[in-house]
Amino acid sequence: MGAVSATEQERSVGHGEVILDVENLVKYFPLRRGIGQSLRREPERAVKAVDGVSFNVKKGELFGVVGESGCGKTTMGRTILRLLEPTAGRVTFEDIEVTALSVEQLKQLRTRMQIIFQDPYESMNPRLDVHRIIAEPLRIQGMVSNSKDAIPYIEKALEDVEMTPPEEYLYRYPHELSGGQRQRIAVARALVLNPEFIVADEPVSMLDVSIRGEILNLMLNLSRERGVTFLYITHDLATARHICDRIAVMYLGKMVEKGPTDSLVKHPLHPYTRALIGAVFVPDPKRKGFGKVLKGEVPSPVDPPSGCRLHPRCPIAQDICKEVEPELVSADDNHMVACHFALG
Amino acid sequence: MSKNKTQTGISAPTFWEQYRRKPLGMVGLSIVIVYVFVAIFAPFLTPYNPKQILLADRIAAPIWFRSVLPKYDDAPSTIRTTLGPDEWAVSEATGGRLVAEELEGAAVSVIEFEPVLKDEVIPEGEAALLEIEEYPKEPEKSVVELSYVVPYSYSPPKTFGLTFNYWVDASSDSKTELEFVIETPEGKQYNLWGKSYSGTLGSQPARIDSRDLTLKQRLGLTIFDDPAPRVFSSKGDYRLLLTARSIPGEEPTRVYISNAEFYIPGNVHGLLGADHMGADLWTQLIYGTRISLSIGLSAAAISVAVGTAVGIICGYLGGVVDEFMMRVVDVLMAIPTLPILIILGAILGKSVWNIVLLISAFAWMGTARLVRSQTLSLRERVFVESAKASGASDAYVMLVHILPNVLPLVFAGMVLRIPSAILTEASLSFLGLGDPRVATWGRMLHNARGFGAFTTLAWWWLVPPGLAITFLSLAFVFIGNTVNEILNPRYRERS
Ligand SMILES: Nc1ncnc2c1ncn2[C@@H]1O[C@H](COP(=O)(O)OP(=O)(O)OP(=O)(O)O)[C@@H](O)[C@H]1O
Ligand SMILES: [Mg+2]
Repeated sequence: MGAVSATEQERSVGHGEVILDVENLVKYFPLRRGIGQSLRREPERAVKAVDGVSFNVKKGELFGVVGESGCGKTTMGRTILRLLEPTAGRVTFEDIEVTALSVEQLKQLRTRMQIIFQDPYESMNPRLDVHRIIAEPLRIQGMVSNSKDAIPYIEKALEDVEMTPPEEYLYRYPHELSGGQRQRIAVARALVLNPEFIVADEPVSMLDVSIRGEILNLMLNLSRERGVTFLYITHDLATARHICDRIAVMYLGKMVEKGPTDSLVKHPLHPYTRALIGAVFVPDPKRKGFGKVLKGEVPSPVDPPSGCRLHPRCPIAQDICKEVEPELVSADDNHMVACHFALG
Repeated sequence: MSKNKTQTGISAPTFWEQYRRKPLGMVGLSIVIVYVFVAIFAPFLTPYNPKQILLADRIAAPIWFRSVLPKYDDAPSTIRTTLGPDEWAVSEATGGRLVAEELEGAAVSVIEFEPVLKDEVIPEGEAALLEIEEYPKEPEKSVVELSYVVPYSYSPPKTFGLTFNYWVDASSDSKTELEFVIETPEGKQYNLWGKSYSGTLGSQPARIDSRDLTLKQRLGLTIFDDPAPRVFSSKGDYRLLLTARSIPGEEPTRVYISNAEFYIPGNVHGLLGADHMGADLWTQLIYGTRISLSIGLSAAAISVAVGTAVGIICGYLGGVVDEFMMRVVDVLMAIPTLPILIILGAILGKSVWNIVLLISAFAWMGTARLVRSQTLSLRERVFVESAKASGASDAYVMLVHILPNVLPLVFAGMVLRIPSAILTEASLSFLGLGDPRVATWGRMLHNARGFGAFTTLAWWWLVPPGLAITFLSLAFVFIGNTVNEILNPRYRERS
């Protein structure tokens, strides 16, 4: 990871221009009720995976979403791309309202928005070779009529992800590639349509630590050199800190804090963010509350706690936290936090 | 780190490499290859076609019984000769002759008698009065006798027969007699058939059959006697004599005799004998291979195709369609198949195609369930979502990502479904619900049961189709299990 230095985060981004706008996005997964429960007219229950999330991503930006396992990051990413239908809320890409598109329009938009999945062992059909895996988006989109026409695109994509010479990999099957190589192929596949926006859902969490840096650098270069916008989803604040311009922190389907990477990492405002940072970075004894491990387990997203969702585990919780849900409010310039006591 | 949830795609050469090492699979494959060979080259493996009947006596034994069983030592094999103008020898010709003619492309033997001058027959004046005193005076007969020598070197046959058509062209004052006689090597003559007519006669069939009642009466036998063993009681040269006598009129008398067929059905015939109609059993067995293989393969292919389609669509789309189809599957699976097939077969009519469709209609549910459950897990796989993220339609995902991943599972199931389809067809045919126009193994067994193979202990009629079904089914089971072992080590389908 050494090649990426923290100072790079201060570089300027294509300022201001919003490419993706997410407004109050909600995704519930209804729980199957047994026949008995249906007959007793018990209310339909749901996993509240994403429960009202709002944020925007600016053009050319690397936007990080950080949170523990199960907090709804993947669900959010998939809902933004409408791989899942949102329960409520609105997603706007440039001036297109993604959440209102027809199937046909959505298909067109998919050339501009892509996704890289967490598990490179699962994200490829084992019966297809590299050539066909990368050519698939082109063929689906009708951009090439046969596999021969696809070759130049594929070779370009392979070069973009530094898999050279491309011919060496073209006809290999996923099981003939290492994990890192597979993830590069996954990136190449996402790139082949030349998208402006890519959701990268934990692209390195399944990889060996030694190759994580390579993939992250690849993303960083794509962002810097080609202006590709990334929504980088991770549970690992350290990697997000290394490459992201801005970071949002999620807890139980809600966004609890977001802000420029530096500001968020150096001056975390939310107790949850502090706990996350405490778990990752060497605790600074001068700061109160840092490094305090949260008590208890993450509650079920089916019945999230009332008020502030963190309150049963929060070291600074008071009565108000049980009843009133804190709004996400600005602390300073771009830094926002949802906590009754963060600012006081 | 590496999760191996995926079945890695197995390539054809690797598959063969593994298959080769499985002895049972290879045995099964060899057997099937033999059957396929037999099915393809059926016309070259037998001189007959399965529709030909009267090739031998009913339930004739295999010909090789002669050299194995003393009882069949000199059992007759079929003698069948066509007698045309070239075959007949003229053994007597008074006032007539044999002429060969061609009528509508067929050779016809014509016996031609010279006309009688009118004034010779009816004298005038005084002479006429003298003649009247002598009346009735038998006019002089003209005779033509055709003969043919049949060498016979077997034990007495059960029946024999001669068939031909004849017609007469003559003036109305003429008289014609036809007679058929067999002369034994000892010189004894059996007068088997005779007819007489005046004047012209349209085409008539002559069906001379040793089992015929009038023939027995003519020989002075009771209806319980068998003429055939009496006539052909010894070995030697028999003479067939067809005699025409005529009192000619003023026009020439012409007796036309079409090609005659002389037939002694054999008690032994072909490799596997003959059935109740005298059809060749070896031929039926060989052509049965064709039908059984095609029915097995097509029923298996259709049912597996339907099952796969239903399974993928239900599993992938879910919802009401899925719910409905799965209930249909439950119902169909709960219904006992054979009784329903019997009823539907009786309603829909007996044709091979109907049988294939019926068998398929009740054989797709297992595949549908298996494929559906597999699809349920496949549709959640990330590569499916990855395709959707590139804009893939449901149809695309089902065809490109789901189908190839369920095929190995389905393929083994299909091989295993072939024998059950073959057996179902055989059961239906055995119960008489098969297509009566085609020879299948089930139909052979049906006929064997219905026409006396059990009572006469004609095991050569019963055993071959039974063994053919058994070995073919077994072969497919061997192959199917081997394929399953290689492609789906974790799934074992039971049908
Ligand atoms: N298809 C689904 N049906 C029902 N519940 C789901 C479904 N997908 C996700 N969930 C639930 O939604 C919640 C959020 O899941 P999600 O996968 O979004 O979490 P995540 O933040 O990506 O976690 P991780 O870091 O482990 O990937 C979880 O409680 C999960 O069980
Ligand atoms: Mg996830």
